[in-house]
Amino acid sequence: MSILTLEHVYKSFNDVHAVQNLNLDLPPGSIFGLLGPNGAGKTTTIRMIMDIIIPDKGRILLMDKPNSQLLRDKVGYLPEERGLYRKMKVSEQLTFLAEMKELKRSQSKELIKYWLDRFELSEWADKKMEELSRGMQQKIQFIATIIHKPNLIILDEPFTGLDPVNTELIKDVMLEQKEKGSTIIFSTHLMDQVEKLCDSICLINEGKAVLDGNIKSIKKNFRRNSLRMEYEGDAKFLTNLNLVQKFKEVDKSTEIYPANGIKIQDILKAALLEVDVTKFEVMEPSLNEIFIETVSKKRKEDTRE
Amino acid sequence: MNKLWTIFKREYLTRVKTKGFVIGTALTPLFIIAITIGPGLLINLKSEKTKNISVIDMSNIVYTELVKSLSDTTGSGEKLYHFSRIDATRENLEDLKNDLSESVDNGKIDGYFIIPEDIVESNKSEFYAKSVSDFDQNRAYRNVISGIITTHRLKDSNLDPTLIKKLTKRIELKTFKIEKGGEEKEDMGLSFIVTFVMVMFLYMALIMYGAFVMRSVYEEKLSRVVEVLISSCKPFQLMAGKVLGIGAVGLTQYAIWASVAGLLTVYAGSLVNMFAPGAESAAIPTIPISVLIYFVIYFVLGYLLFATLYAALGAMVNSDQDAQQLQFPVIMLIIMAFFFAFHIIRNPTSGLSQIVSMIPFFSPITMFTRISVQTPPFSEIMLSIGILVVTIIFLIWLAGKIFRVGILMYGKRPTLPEVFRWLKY
Repeated sequence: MSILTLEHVYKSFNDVHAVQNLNLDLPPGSIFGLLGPNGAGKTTTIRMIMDIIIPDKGRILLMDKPNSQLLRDKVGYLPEERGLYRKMKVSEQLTFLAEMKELKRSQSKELIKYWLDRFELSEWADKKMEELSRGMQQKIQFIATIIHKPNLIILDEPFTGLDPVNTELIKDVMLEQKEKGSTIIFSTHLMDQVEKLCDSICLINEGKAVLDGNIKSIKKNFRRNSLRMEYEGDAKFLTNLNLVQKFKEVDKSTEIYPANGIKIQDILKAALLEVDVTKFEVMEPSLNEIFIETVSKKRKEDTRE
Repeated sequence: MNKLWTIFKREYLTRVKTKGFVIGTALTPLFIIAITIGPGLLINLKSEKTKNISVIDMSNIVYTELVKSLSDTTGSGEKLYHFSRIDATRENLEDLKNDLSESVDNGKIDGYFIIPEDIVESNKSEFYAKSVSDFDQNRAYRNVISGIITTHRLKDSNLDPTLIKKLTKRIELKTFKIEKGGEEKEDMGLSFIVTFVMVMFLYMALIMYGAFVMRSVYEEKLSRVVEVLISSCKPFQLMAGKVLGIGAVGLTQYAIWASVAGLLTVYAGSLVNMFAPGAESAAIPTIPISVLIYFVIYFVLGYLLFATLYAALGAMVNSDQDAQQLQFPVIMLIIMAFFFAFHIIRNPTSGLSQIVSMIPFFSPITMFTRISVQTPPFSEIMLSIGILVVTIIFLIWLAGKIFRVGILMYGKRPTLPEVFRWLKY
């Protein structure tokens, strides 16, 4: 079973192709990251999943069924632009939003108390929303998103505007929800969050998926690992070596990218002949690098065209 | 339907609990009470203090009759006027006037009359007091003295004053309104006022509550709450919940006002009596039950029509200025209906009256005006209600479409062709 399936989804606004031929398949109980630079089509994709905007072409399935209102109560959605009633009290607001998800008052009362406690907002329960800081409002909105224990949690940029402490808190809750069997899809452009949280990702750029799948396999397929080396002696040998594609000095060490078809071990062997190696480390590419490289490669191709 | 109810409840409760609603609802009846029993109270308040008045009656005709005629009493039953006669001759008149003016000045007396010897021929008399700006009081004095002199003149001419009074008595013209079924009812010219007030209330309701719906919709849109709501319910449920919730607020407010008005018609007299025994209250005419029923029908239908329209407009709004501009044509429709109502009050059966009472955007006000002034045939009323209901159903369908797309569309205000394209979704 899939929690969420997108099949050949297209959407354009006037002549801008916001999303082109997007395919996704989310198994239950995982965290999925939707990555991409600003304007890549992340929010458009999420809004189509939420049935807020309608795709021009393609199909979106929730829990193997066509996107329908009946499934709405099993989904929690945190929109990119936060929106709550400014004049309503925090507890009333949460009760109302929980009731909109068919949660009974008796159930929601306890849950609201639990979550307000957890997010250290208990003393604000009877305050109006407009009296809260933006970070607090965001936490309230997050509570509203997960209070009805949804099977699928959709978070559009959940970490923007949060301090590190609250970011950790939200991450903890996300992992906890995953443990409980929920599936989470979230969009972000903060790569370090993704590496720690996600099981799989989809990187979209200009409306197209440029990379997707399991993080480990993405890293493996992206390119060979680089190596980082500290040594004593003359590094000139690197420039002459046809084993090396390129290298750069990072702090005291040098990062070396092997040329095509060359094994890291071969470089080590060559280096040992020339210099005194004090430290040798195999580096896997960070998602950040993958992100930047993939996106900028695409841009270069575009300008060449 | 459960979610519609949740939205309805929130919309209703948050509104009813606002200070604005409580104050607005409470102040209006107070205002009504004030204008109903206020005048009665005020008239009575004036006559609380007894007045000492001196009279220099050199004609020897006026004094006795004056005392007899001005025998009003105060609230506590005491005599209002205490008269004292002062004899004067032509020689000491000026001195006496000076003395009396001094007494008025230091408050020993409140005023004095000078009735000259030749009042019957000269038609002149004088009254002195610290304040002579009370028109009512002045007129009362003048009428009393005129009456006394007229009677005296009639007697002098050997005519019987009572006979003359009888012969010159004014003819009264009572007006009757013929109600449905040929019942006759005495109408004191108030039917116009009642119609006017009710039409005014309809007009206010359509403009006020309609604007509430529009505001509620675009505030949710601009504050982005709508995205959260739409992820939980159908846009149509949201729209319907809002329209009905605010409508219920309107009905609540009007029901409170109507009960206060109802109580007033029954108890106005005794209320005034309680505060100020003996005072008169302005009579509140009773409204036939059938007219009240039609009022509720046209209130509800008119509200539904305009609230749906306003909801669709609210969904197109992207800023406060947008709201102002988009609202304008709708308000014009309501104002036009109001102008037609004036025409109808005077010409309830004219061709124009018949036509505008069928047009759905006018009929809540215009047809109701006709019913209230001169009830048209039942078939015509039913036809207007039928047209109205069909239009409302069509508008709900149309507004639902516009709302569905517009509520989540940000950026510039949509053009008309764009809105037409929305209908295809």
